Amino acid sequence: MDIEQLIRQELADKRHMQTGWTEPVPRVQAGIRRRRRRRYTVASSVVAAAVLVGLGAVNILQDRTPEAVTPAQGTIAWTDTPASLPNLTRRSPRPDVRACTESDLAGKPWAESNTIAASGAKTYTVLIANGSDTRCTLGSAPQLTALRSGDGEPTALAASTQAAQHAGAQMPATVDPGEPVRLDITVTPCANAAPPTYSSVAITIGQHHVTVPGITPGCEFAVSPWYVQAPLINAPLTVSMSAPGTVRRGSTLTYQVTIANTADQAFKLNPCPVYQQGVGEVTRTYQLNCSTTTIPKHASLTYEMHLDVPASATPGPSKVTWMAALANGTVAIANLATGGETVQIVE
Amino acid sequence: MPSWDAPPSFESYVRDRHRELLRFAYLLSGDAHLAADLVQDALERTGMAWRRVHKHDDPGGYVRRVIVNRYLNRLRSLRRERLTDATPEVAHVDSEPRDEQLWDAITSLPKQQRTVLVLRYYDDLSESQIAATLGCSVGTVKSNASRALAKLRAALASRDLDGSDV
Repeated sequence: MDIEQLIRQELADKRHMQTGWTEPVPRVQAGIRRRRRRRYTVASSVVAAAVLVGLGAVNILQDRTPEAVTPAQGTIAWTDTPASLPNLTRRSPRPDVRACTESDLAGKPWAESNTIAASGAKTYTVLIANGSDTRCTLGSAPQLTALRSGDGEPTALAASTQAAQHAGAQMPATVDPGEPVRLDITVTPCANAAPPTYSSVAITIGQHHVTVPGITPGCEFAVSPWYVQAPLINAPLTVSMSAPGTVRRGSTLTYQVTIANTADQAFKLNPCPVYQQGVGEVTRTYQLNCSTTTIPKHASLTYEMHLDVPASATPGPSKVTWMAALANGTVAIANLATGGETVQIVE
Repeated sequence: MPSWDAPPSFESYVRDRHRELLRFAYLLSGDAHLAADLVQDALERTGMAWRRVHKHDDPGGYVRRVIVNRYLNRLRSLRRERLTDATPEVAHVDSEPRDEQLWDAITSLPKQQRTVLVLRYYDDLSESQIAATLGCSVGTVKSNASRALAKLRAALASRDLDGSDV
């Protein structure tokens, strides 16, 4: 018998018969039901997971899509309730770091004339930007030099020391890259002080004398320490203003301010904020009309504002400023990018 | 979820064919328990797809393919596979005493070769049908069959040398 026949015989042998199941159909049917339940559970879980993932994705997308701010319905009237500003919150003083070097302050300084005293003394704020890419600290007192009238010799000025003239001045001056360090220089004109006259005032930085353009000659000088002006802390509100292009001096300027809440939760105006408005050098502080105490999320409120333009105001362009101050010392400044809106003051 | 009841045609198929399928699975695996698992698994899968399988008029081929594939892919079968000369458990024992050497030689073949032998000499499938069932080429079927026969011949020749009869 050949091998193939032997294999056929072996495989067909009765020894290999198997006992059948007593209840084959219920046995298989139960298994199929079990499989269907498992498949149903898995499918349900997958669908539930897909729905959850979908909902999560929708939420994320909604979070990423800024909601449009609902414009205010109507304008809230102006109320004449004078107030005073609370203590405003500013950025915390930063710790001292490495001393600023000559190369850090290699840029050109510039001066801003801000006050003229009754005596005729002018106080300039001089700014020099930190041109490096790291933070540095200026702790030493600034040294001034100027050209003496008559012989034109560069002379170290015996300037008296004065306090910084600005609110929020922090000393020693730790300046970030690109941020300006400041000092105030007060020049007393020679009509009120003894000659000689000094001109071309320069600041000594390292081994160099850097002339500050725009400072008038004078006979006596006072200088403040180096300082940085810490910025105010902004409240989570966006304020815009809309003013007419021109206003007659001596009249009342009526304009509108819109406070928008772009956050995902309502903003409570409680305690009621105050605001400071100004044109030119004149500022006034009032209580906001808090007849509406809440700005809903993604909504805005529009307020009517009245501002008296002095009869003595100089005709020409002038900036109208508006800033709300909240009880916690944070502020909301109108037209933050430009600091206000320019109006033309006319006769 | 609605309850599932076996269609009458599936019920009669299971009732009529499950013994035959158990034997087929046993010849493949050499293990009665594994054979029962394979047949149960294959019938459940067939039942799930019964409407489609029945429509094609070849439920036997479908079930056989499932049993073979599950057997060849089953990692557990590696542990259950009998590679020794121990006699597999059987349900019925022939009254005549028999030489177990051929069966031992068959069960000691690699799975692929044993599957080819069972399909060829038990199910009487052609080489092309075996190739379709296993999802391989006819050449692979031929080589597996040839190697299996060579091993069995060698096993029987060694038995003859020992002085035994076939």
